[in-house]
Amino acid sequence: MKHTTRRRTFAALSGLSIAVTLAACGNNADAVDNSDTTSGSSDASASADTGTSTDSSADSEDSASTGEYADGTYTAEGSYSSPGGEESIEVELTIADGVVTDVTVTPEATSGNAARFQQEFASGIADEVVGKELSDLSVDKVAGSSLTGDGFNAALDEIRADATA
Amino acid sequence: MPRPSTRFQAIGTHWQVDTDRPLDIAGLGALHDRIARFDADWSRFRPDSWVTRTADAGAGEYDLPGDAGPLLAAYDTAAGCTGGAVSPLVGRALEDLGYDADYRLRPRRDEDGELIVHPVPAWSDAPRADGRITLPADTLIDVGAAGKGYLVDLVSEVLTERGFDAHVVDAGGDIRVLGSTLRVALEDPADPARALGVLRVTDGAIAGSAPNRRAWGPGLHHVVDARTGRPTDRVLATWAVAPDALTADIAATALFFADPDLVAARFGIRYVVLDADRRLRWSLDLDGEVFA
Repeated sequence: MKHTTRRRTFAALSGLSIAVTLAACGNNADAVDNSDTTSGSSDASASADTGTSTDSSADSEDSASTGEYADGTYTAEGSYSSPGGEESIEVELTIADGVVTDVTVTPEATSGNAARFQQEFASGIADEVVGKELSDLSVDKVAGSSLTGDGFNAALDEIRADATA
Repeated sequence: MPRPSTRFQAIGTHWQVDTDRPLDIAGLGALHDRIARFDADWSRFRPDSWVTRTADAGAGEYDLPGDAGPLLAAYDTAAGCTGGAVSPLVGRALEDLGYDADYRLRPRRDEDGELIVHPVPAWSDAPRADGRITLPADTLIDVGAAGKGYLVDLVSEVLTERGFDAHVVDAGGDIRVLGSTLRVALEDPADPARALGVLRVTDGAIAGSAPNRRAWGPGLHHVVDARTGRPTDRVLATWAVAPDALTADIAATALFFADPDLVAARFGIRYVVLDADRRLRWSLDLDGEVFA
C-alpha cells in the first residue's frame, strides 16, 4: 500500500511539469494523460524511485475527477543518489479537480539530476505571504525598492510637508 | 563578499562597490568616467543629455549612443513579452505623472482630479538600423527599467578589465556579483524590517522592483504601463535573478506586466513576484528560499 502511494505521488509530481506547461495552452486534461510517459522517460523520476520516505495525505481517491489522481494535498520527501552525489528534495502539491493548484518544492539541489528535476517545475504559489524578520536573518544585501538619490528624496519630503501643512 | 567597499551616489541612487583589494584612484576614476558617460547619454534629468536633446529636437533620425545595443535589445524582448507595456518611450508619461527633471512630483490632473494620462508611442514606431533610431514627435526616452542594471554591468566590466576579478557592484539594489556568493534578502515592500525570502546569487545578478515604497502619491510611481501611460497596480514587488544585471533589471519590470513563466522563458531568469493581494509566486529552481 505504501508502495502504491509512493508511486502515485511521484507520478503526480512527474506529471506536474507537463500540467503547468500545458496549462498555459488551456488544456489540463492532456497534462494528466501525458504524465505516465513523462515519468517513464525522465531521469529525475527514475532516480526518485529510490526515495527513502514518502508521505501522502490525499483526501479521497473517490473524489478524483480525472480518474487517476485524487484531489488533495500530497507531500513527498526523498533522498537519492545522482551522478552529482546524494540529493534530497521536499515537494508538496495540491490537486483539485484533477488540476495541480499549488506546488511547493524546497530546492536543495543545485546540480545534477535533482536540479534538472526541480527545473521541470514551473512555479510555486503562496497566499498572503508573511515573511520573516530581517534581523533574524544572516544576509549580505537587501533587494527591494531601489534606494533613491537625495534629489528625489528632498522633493518627496517637500511634497509631504506641503500635504500636511 | 569581497572587501573593501567604496560608496558613492550617482544616477540618482546609492552605489556600493566591493572589491577584493582596495580600489586605486585610477580604478575609481575609470569607474566614475564610465558612469558619467552613461549619464551624459541616458539621463532624462539632464538638459544636455542625448535623450533630452533628441526629445527637444522632435521627430527625426538620430545617432544612438555607442552602448545602446544591448540596452535597447533588452527593451525589444520586454516589449514583446508584455504586449508593449514595457517601453523606453515612457519619458513624457512619467513627466505627466510628475516624475520630471525638476522632481515636480505633482501629476497633471483634470478638473475632476483624475490623472491626465496618454498611451505612449509604440516602441515598434521607433525603428533602429545601423546605429540610428527614428523617433516620433514629442518622444522622451526613459531607460529607467533597464539602465541602472545595464550600468551595473558596464561598471563590473571596468572592474574586470582592471583586474578586480572578484567584486560586487550594487546600485540601489541592482546587484552584480563575481567571484563569490551573496545572500540577498527580498525586502517586504510593506515593511522594510521583514524579508519574504533569501536568495543566493553566485556569479550573477539580482534586481528588485517595488515601486510603492518610492511612490510620490497614492498610485503614483515609476512603473508605468506604456499602453495607458498609467502606473500599474497589479503587482507590489518583483525580483529577478539573471546572469547579468541588465537582464535582471528589465525582467523585474516585465514581471509587472506578463506571466512570470513567460518572462522567465524569454529572459532566462528566475523570479519572485508579490502581487497586490500579497500572493507570492516564485520559480521553483531558485537558489535560496522564500518564506511562504
